[in-house]
Amino acid sequence: MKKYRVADAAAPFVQYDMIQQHTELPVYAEPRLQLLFGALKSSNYSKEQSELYNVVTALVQLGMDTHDLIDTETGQRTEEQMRSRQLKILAGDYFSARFYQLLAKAGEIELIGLLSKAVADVNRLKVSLYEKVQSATLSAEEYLSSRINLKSEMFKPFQRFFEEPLLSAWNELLHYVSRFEVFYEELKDSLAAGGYARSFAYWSLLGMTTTAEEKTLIKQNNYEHLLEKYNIHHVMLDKLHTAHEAIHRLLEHEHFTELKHELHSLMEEMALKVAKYSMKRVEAQ
Amino acid sequence: MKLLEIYAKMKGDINKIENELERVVSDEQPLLSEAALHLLKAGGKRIRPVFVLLGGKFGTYNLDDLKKVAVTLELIHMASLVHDDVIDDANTRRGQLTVKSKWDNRIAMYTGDYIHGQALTQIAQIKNPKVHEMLSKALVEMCIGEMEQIRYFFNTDQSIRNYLLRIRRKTALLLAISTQLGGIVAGCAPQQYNALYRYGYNVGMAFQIRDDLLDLYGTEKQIGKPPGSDIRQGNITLPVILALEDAQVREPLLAEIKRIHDEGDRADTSRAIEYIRNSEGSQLADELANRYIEKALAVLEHLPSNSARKHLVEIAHFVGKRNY
Repeated sequence: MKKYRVADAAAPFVQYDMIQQHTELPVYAEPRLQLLFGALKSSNYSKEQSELYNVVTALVQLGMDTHDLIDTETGQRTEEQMRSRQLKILAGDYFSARFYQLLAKAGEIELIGLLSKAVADVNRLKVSLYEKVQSATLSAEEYLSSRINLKSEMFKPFQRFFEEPLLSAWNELLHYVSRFEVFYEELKDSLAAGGYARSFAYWSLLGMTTTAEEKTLIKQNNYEHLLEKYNIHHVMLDKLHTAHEAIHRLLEHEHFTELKHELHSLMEEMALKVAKYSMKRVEAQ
Repeated sequence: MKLLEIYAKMKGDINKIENELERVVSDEQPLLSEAALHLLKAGGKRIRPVFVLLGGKFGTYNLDDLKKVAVTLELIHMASLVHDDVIDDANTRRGQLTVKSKWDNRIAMYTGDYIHGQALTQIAQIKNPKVHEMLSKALVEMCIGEMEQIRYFFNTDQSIRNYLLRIRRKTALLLAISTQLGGIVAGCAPQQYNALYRYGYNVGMAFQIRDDLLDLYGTEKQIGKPPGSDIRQGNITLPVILALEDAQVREPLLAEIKRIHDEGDRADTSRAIEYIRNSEGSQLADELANRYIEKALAVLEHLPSNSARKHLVEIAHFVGKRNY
């Protein structure tokens, strides 16, 4: 039997030639979506229901993630740059409309309300984070917890779909999967050229560095050597590893045998990611 | 009866909707609240809420339910305007700075998504599946309409049919379901709420055609944005399509459109507007808008004769003559 993939299931609802022609979309929130799908399936929801809930959450999250790609440039843009921006906006709106249409067709009115409220909540968090980033009034821990909350918010409403012990464990599982995703992205970005600007690394260094000269370097995005000096990559890798361990520990619960089975490939993918960055760390030393 | 008199007669219920709109978008996050209220306070005709209320008068008028539908539709409209201003890179709307201009694109995206989320949270309190089926379908079509508009930017070979399909999706559907959903939540029979749909649809088509004419004939003060914005952006509207069919102006107008395309945002559109005004395009577009108004009025004959029907007649006449 073909393995379920959210990208395949959502494809009919995201494809519109204008979108594909003019812009690139972000990736799906795979780890959280795999967690949700596994949790629904292990809670005796039918395959159809599990797929529907997963696809609509994927769509609404993808819509908001697409809107996150809108630039704030105000200068002259080329026609293609304008089209790309315009289609990102409309793609995000289109995915959101499709989420509503799918749930409306299925008569899932309560879930429309729950997920729509979560959309409003996510955007409230985004404005707060954006405001703090702009005014540079943010600690590394605040930045981290905001990013984790932003990732988990759309998935929290599903807690009420589960029974004990998953009911109690859902938010914690979601937190650690989101935390893992955040640190994986942060590590990836911090190794990409210029990717660490306004990242966890940036906010950490800003709180750690002591001299005025170092603070100036950070603001000029010229601080690769400071990442080494303050051991930032090691801290991030350690946090990635800890998040993976925490999920593993939670799944050891005696009633989660089936959930653990459902999440087997997710855990394997996470283990591979930890190993990948551990290797990079060893190579760097 | 003038439009203002209709609003005055419905003042009590419209005020309740206005208060509810303000309550729903006021947020504990100060910046988000300010940005969301910014557009709300700039005013607007609130035509969608008025349509919902009037549609509801043909059944059992329950303000609590109608208010939820009215607030939802106005918020969906507002959210789309906030995003549209990023799409169009517009600095002013209704004579005020746009959210993207007062803050930036990112805040505009978050504000639009927040308002949209609040809108659907409101409508989810209505449990009638038909409401959600109709509304969600209209939202999908609206997005497709916007994408199709971009596809045809600066395309001077497009047909009238193509334009009509686009404005149907972009504007008419949301107005059509405003009257229709009012009727549905008030428990009207399908024959009645379908007639309400057709009324809203035809008025919506006329409304958009008049809006496209106003972009060519209005002043910045009247329309709240610089005239000629559509053509500068590449949006080839009905008066332009019809003007291009006029042999007298076709070639110079094509050359002007090409120049505007090449020069971009700051291109002067006055000569193109002059060509269109001197063609038969504007008059023909005006006639087509009137035909839609006649259709809307004819549909009303299928509805019981009451004060709501009289108001809908007046609104149709107002849209037909709208010059601001």
